[in-house]
Amino acid sequence: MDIPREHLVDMYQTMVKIRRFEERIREIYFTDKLPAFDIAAGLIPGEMHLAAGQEPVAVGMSPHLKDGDAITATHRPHHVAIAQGVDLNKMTAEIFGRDTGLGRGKGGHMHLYSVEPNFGCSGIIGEGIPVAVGAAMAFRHKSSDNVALSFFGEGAANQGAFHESLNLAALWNLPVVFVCEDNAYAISVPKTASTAIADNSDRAAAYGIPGVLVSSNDPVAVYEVMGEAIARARRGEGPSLVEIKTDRLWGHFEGDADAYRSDEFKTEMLERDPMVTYVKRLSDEGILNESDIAAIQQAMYDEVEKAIQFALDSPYPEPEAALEDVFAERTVTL
Amino acid sequence: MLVGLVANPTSSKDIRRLTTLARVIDVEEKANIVARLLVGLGSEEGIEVLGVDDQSGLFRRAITLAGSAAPPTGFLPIEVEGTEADTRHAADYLANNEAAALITVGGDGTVRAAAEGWPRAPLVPLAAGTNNAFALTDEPSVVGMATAIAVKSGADAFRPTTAVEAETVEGRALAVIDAVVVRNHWVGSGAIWDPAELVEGFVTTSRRTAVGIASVSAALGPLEQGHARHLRFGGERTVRAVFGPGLILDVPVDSHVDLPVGAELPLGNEAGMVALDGERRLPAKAGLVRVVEGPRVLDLETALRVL
Amino acid sequence: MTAKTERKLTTQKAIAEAVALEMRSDDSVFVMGEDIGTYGGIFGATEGLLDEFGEKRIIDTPISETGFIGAAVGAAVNGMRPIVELMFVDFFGVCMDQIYNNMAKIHYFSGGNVKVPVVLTTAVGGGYGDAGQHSQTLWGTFAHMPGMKVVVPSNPYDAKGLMIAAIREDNPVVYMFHKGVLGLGWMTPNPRATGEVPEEPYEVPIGKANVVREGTDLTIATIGMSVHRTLDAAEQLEEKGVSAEVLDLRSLVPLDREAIVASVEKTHRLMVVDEDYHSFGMSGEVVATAIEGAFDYLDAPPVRVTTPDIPIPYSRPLEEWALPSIERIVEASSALLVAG
Repeated sequence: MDIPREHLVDMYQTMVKIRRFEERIREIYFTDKLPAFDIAAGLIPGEMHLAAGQEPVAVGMSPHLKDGDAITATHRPHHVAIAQGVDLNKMTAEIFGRDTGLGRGKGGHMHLYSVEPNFGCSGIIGEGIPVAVGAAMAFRHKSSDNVALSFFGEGAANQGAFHESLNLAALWNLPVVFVCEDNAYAISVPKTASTAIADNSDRAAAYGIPGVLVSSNDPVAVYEVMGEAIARARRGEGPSLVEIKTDRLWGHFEGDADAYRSDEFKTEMLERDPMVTYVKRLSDEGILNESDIAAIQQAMYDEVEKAIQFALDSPYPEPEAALEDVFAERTVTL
Repeated sequence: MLVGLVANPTSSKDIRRLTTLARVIDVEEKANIVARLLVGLGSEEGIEVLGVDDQSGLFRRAITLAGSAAPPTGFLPIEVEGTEADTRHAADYLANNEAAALITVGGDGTVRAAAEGWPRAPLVPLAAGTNNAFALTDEPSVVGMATAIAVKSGADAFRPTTAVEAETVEGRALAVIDAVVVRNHWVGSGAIWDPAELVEGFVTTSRRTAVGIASVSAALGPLEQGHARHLRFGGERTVRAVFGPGLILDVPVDSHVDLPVGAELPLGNEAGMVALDGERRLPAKAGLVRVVEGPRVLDLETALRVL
Repeated sequence: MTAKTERKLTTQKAIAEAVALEMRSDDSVFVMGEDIGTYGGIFGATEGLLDEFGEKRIIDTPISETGFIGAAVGAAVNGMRPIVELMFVDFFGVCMDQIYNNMAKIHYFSGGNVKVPVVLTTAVGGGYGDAGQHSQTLWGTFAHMPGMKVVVPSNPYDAKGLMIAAIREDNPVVYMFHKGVLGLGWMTPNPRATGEVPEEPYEVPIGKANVVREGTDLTIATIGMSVHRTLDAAEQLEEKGVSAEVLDLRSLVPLDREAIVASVEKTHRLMVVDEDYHSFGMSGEVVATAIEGAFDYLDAPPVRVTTPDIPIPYSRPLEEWALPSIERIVEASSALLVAG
């Protein structure tokens, strides 16, 4: 009944990839924007929301996914996309606004859409939650055992879309797993100042579905809970709500002075950095030794660099391409 | 007279919501339980209740709900981390300040943490957990009132219990109901819901109405006071147990033997982790289990008979 | 001349028939919305469909527009062809994010890789005393935002053809049906709400206007219920010796700018009749189109007969005054002919 070594290692590997990706994007983002920060300048213009610290939330689901499962995510999407296996080259090219990107440069970092794997994210809080409900409706209609997962933050749990979606999914017994990433802050507003109750997992009862609290930012704990929630949905037993307490190590956006969180809080977060705690556990258990770890890091660093190079080598779209892809050509004719 | 009250906001929310029929007991419900406890405690003069001022606001909410019927209340002067450590620190403070009783509201894990902080605590464990093998499931206002009567009257209404202590390379920890070696090597989501996980276990109770590993012990017959039962899992023979809420299973039990307080047994080499009171906690490497005296627990009937 | 082509239906029944035909031939088409099942839609757009197709494909929803319109987007992204009803267009406020920010933009954001074949049906229009939150048309608002097609049929034939075309589109289509053109038994009788409708499936092309009455003296471009009012006005104008060409736009996205320009080149005078609010909307867009495309052909400044920028009032004399009426169209035509 032990967790397969392969899953434990894969999760670590993906965490390394995510963390490295976020670190490199952060570096590149600030290049050409400084000394005086100009958000429009540089290789990656606009806003950037990175998920360093939240890796466990995403990787815990990966070993349980199958082809065709649909995931919707937020303005902080990279860890989820990487964990689902979205093409890293095309994702990076999209973030860099290149023609080879997932959206041919039209979407950018907050609007990443992939067909295989089935992934979408949006910049509007809570917008993806009903979409996951719809994906689940489609799966049910086709009698497939695919499931839909919707990732959102603890701030989104106060948005109407969250409540409407849980009600719909429960009412129609749909195969959806609602995943609440609780990093305790919605930009600068702490959960204690935004939410009337202590835990969003408690809200599941209001819709008659099970709610589970994962109170530590531990990939194995997430793995176990996501495994049960996803299996349950696949069996046709309906939706569930999983709340995971995680840490947003950096600011809400890159460039955020993050002055609203105390130094003490930030130090405490770093002390429980999952990249450190998880690999230590793997090492203590004899699952990975020093050279395994080094090999994984090298491989993941290389993959990330390759993706970045792919993006840098890719052309920008032609300006007039801005007019394309508003509408699709007709495929069904009389 | 000082009475401490520790309510766990995160009990009854774990993975067993998906693997058994366990339901969430939300913070509002727990606040309601604590409010009723407070009203019961307020039925006698001269009692002050100290609780934990944690982020969930549970204790504060309960004070508001109980209104004027509550006794004088305050907050334990401990640093609140929002983890299980708070329960231990609270119990430790109460031990050092001669509290007359320590009330816990939560699951078996909450009781365990309290007993770790104060091993011989005069305990009043109120159920708000998944299995509640140890805790009282009676109406909180009755329990509150019984506690008040017991501490005021000075009558000996607390009964002795047996506990087990696990000692491994990572330290020592107490379990008030069971210490079980499981195959899983990971703390993960903590809970156990599959008997195939079990290697061997030490159980301190044979209460017929218990849920969890204790239910397995109960099926094997009564357990003498001052003893714990060692179970070896596996083999052909099974016993029927209520392994979790709505989960009745046939659990393979190879053998069992009852051990008195003071007995020690080493843990097997194939061990993965030791789960204490239903939660995976310590790696089982090079460990042993010792049968010890546990906390003293309020006997409701005795307390109320003083009235 | 067969019995088929003489068959007459109301606009409402034509819409329901279109949906049924497509649902029979394509299993991925389904309908959801409030009261669209058992009730058949409060304006009858889905009458009879629950009996034929069952509750797995005709789905009554809770009052959760953000939830079920977002779900329609999700279903469409995953291989279904949902028809989702926003009961009154006036309710868009509670769910507009899912419509204009999500449904309308996914195809673009994905560089054309993801398609969103949603038909968003909604009831529009006033003139029967339903007051400020149940009488609006708002096509200007929807047409203004990129990424969704907008169609507004005025008669049974177009209603069926546009619905079939909308369902077959791989793009989001906002299908706005004016309550006054439906031919509902509980509304003021309207002879123009019934017409010949072929039984077989057929399409009316999205993005193409229709000259419903040829004329030489002025072009009146209009849409929805105002087409009926304009045709009635044109008959009155005929008696006065004025020949009005009535252009039923039928679609606002895409807008048939060529048809507008061609008609203005022919008549040299333009009126727009628009039941939506006067400013920043359809009427201004049509006028701009004419000026940009046919400036040299205009003999007079274009005129607009619209609803003023006010919440639509309740009391009958107030509402009748506010909404474009036959009288105002006739009066404005006379002025237009004198001008220039």
